[in-house]
Amino acid sequence: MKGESRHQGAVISAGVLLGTGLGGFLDGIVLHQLLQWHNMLSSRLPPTDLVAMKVNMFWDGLFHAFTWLVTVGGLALLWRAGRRPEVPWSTRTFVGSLSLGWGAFNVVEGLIDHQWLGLHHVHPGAGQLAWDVGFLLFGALLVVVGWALIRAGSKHPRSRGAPVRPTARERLATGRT
Amino acid sequence: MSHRQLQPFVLLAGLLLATSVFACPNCSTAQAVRATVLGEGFWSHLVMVAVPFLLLGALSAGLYRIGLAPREGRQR
Repeated sequence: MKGESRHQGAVISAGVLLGTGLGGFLDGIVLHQLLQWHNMLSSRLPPTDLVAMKVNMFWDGLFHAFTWLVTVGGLALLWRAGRRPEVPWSTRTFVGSLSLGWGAFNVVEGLIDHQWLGLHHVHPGAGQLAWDVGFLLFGALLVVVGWALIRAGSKHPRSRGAPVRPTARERLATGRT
Repeated sequence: MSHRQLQPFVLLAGLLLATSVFACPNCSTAQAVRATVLGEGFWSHLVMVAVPFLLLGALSAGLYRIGLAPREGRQR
């Protein structure tokens, strides 16, 4: 496998889309539905009556539809990457890109929807800004951790189909026992 | 197709029909919801919901190039 090109980006792009989708589902399921802290347009149209609740439900549904499409896109890319021998099948790269996607989703959603457009806030009311900033910081942390894992994965690239544990010859060549 | 195989489809069709009947698409609440959703601001709201996903799709497309062999040097 030495000397072959290693297309790490195929797994990263799949993982970023999957991380975005899973992060979006977590946001939608936990914050919108289970805890009911906010809805998609809850700062513009507070869900105080049945019509406003149903309108917010519609936009939440559309948010989940986009999330579903992104997840399907990620699965398709991952399936495609898994069939190509030049793609290193690294757990660190994949988990790192999931984390990167989730974090980037939080950062982008936090900056655009919470701060810039003011469509909704994480936990409206007292301490609203603190919750929004916490959401952003958590996203930024996920991005940093994800990027570090991706970099760690790139140091030990292993093509698909190669043995998971290094062979005795490889251990001798690298000086590891 | 035997009757036994048809049973799940009949059940599903029945459930869908019951859902649409009870959803009451022409009730005043449903009409108000439709008017609010499709009224002023529909397209701007759609763009606002879609933009984060479009940005992250673009990020994913950009990251796809990591480790890709240069076009002229690519071998099959």
